[in-house]
Amino acid sequence: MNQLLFRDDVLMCIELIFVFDWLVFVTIVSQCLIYSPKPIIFSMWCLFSGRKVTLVLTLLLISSLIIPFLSVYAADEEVIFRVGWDGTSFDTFNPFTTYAQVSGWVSSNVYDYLVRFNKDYASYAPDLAESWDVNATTAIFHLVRNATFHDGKPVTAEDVKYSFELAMSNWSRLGPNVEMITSIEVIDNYTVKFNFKPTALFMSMAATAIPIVPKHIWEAVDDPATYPDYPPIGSGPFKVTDYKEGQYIELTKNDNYFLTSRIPNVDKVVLEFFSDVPSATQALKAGDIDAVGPTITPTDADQMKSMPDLDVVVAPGILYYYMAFNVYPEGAGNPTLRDKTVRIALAHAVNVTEATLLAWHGYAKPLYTVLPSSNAFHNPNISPYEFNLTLAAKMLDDAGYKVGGDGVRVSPEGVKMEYTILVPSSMPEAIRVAQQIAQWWSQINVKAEVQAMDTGSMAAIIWAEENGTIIPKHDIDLWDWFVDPGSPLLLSVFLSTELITGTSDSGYVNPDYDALYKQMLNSTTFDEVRAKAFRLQEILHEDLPYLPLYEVSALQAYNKKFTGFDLDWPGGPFGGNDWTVFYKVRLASAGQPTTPTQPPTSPPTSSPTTPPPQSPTSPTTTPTGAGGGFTSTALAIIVAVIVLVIVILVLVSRRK
Amino acid sequence: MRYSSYVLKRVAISLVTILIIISFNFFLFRILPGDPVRLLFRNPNLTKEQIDALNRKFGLDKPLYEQFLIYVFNSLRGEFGLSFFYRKSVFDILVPRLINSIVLILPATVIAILLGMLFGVLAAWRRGDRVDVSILAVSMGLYSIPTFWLGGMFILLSIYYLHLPIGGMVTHGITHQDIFSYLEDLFSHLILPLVTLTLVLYGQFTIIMRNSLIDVLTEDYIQAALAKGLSVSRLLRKHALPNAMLPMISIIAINLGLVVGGAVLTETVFNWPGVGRLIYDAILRRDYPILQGAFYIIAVSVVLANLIADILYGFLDPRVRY
Repeated sequence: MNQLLFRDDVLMCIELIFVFDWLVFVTIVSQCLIYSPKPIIFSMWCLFSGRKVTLVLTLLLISSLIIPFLSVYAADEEVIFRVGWDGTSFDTFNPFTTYAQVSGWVSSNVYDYLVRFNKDYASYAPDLAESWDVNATTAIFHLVRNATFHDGKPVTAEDVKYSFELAMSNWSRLGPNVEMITSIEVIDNYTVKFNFKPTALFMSMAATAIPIVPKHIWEAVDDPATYPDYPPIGSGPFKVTDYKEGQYIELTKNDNYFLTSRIPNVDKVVLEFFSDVPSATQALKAGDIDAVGPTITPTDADQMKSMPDLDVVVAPGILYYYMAFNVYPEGAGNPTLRDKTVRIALAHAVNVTEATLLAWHGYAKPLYTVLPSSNAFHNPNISPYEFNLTLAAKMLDDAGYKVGGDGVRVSPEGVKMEYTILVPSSMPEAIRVAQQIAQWWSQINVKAEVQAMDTGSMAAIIWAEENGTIIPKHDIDLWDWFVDPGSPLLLSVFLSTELITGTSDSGYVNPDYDALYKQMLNSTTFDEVRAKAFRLQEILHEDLPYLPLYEVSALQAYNKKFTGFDLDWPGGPFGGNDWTVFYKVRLASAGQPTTPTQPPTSPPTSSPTTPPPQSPTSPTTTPTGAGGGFTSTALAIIVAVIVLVIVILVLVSRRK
Repeated sequence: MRYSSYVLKRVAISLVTILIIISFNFFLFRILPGDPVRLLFRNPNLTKEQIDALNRKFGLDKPLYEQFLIYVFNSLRGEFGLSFFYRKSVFDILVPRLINSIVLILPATVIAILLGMLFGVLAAWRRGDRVDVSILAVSMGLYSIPTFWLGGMFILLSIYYLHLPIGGMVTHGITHQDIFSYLEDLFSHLILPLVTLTLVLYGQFTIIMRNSLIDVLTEDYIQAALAKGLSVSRLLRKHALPNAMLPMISIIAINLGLVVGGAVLTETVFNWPGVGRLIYDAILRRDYPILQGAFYIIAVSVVLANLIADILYGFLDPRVRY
């Protein structure tokens, strides 16, 4: 770690010198302005009036521009896999307090868990535990004996116990995952036993979710709740060797990893952060990065398909869009939405298939239940509400919602069917869908107005606080959920207790549902859990607090230079869920483990017009020494600019 | 009024301004609708107890006036607290971002000022003819071009022809051999955002320089100086420019003060990890401590730059002292 700190310091110094250089420059210019009785306006001009100060200054400026080109560097003999991330930014390395998906992805490569999910999210692969014995109330894990943390200390049952205890603290994000645990016993150094309340979900919720952290390090931490955990010491296949907030995380392979089959093929993985999707996709096209996730736009996907060196991934999605109706009995939204008949009629007036096509060019599928099909508890038997405007209008007529004088239906109580649909302004395709839905509804004489706003403002309306209680004030919102493929926990959004935690945007209240959800958590076999989850989804389909719209495939892209990873992992290989992608990825061209990759600031690996590089030893057009493609171009530009400026100056000063 | 008392008065006014800004910052962000904790952690697994614990940790459970007092007291000591999103000291996050922003924006502003003055003078001298019209057209054009469009064009150009890096500050994942290779790397990443930002900033300086110089050049004493047979460069340097510089100094001061404010659009297009992007993200996340810290620093530097401009002004144009 010493080396790391040293490097950071040096880089920081250089940046400071660079800034200082400019500061000096500005100071001198302003000093000229202050002290010279006849103000010197700008330095370059004065070059011609023979002032020494400005001559020196100009030389300094030019030299600071030229110096970088004089250096010579050696090519790096490492394979680096660069992944661009355009989703929610990284927050912290502390696996117990992070809420960002990308942070979880890093944790899953730096830390080991007791067991891991397989791709189907219903079976498990061994990790720190080489074998296990689970029933409805206890679980015994036998740990591997040769696992060590990155600092060389062995991983023991004490570390496992300590990590689970940290997860059970009240500040921990993972608290709800380990709620069922009643006690943890260390049987011997490599055997640990958990006792818990009867449930079939211990493996999927707890054993796969709790990272095993070194007790000897975390014990010495004052406040684990605010511990930044940098650099994180885990036992996983990668170590974090560099991190710049807002820029990148560098993961280096752990050569001492205990599972030889999972020792990474590449030397380093660099996660680069992008603030938006277009800049990340541009970087992929330019060859600055090798893959991009968690999402690209359908337009980019179509375009990239035609590029010879890029490949597009269309993986099962973990993201879906829905419309939530405000059904809360004491809510402040339009009261007609509390009538189930109205909601069902509105559902009949939404052409989900067409809305799906409209927004995502065939990269999405209609969804009829609240868990996407990549989820292990998705109920495939639910039949959609058929798109039928006549039927919808008839249902409303029969229920007494007659068309009023201004062409808008009025409820028997005299309330107009006028709704506002809230949509996050960051989702243009969702806004389009909402507008289309409003258009369909207008055909059955229901008026809907689409309002796009930032999610903070949306949340302030949906969970409006009045005198300490929460009163949902919206009518309808169109939003999305990312759903963990391995757990049915999203169903908790419809519990009557969830309005106050700011997760329920429908305000659904149904005691039967609450009771059945509890039974599901306490079921003792996986099949029983699944049966209950299916039933819960049927209840939601009948009551319709949510109208699910469509699930979006994980759209990602990568450079064909790399291969070896799964393309159909739920959420895609670069979506933050796939814990295997970084150790599996390898150079497509390489039989040998190490191949030189591009040295600093080399030109892009291959522009879209050139075919992908074939030579295994040089996958890039490698500039050597100082005279690379970039250097000469930049130098030419600078020289041209300087010449131009001088010519203009000469012209101006010669003019009489 | 004596010069020293003029300076003192300016300093006092600046201090009061900063104090007002500190209090304003607190309420400005709390007007934004939305609860930071609920927004940050939209997570179906979260329990009520956890939300309460998070609110307690960030001090959001305290009444507003108490939060305000704590905030003012801490700001005066230069403490900005713990970021909600990063759960890390705001200072540790702001400082590297500030340096990144300055590396990009300071050179861009300085180059834009120099170019703007150069072409402004040229346009003013050749006012009315083809040189003036073309300089004015280019300046107006650049001034009104959307930054993201110009940046996007440069990115396209780079992908197909220039092959310059289009995002980030340095190439990640490599160990730089020495300072020079690091600098070269930094510089190659700097070129595109620097050029974009310079072009975007350039227009306003040219136009203001040109207009204020034309005002001066149409004065009688310039005609007299010309009639006396002064050379053009001497006339410009000694008679015209000193008087035309006054409006420029205020606009330069404001722009130099804003150097620490980041350039949101350029930083976003070129993925430059500066303060502008940090502020934008923090607004979306309702990360009050980051916003307060960043706005505090921007306010202080703008006020300082203006103070310096005022002092300079008083020196250059003694009339303003009275």
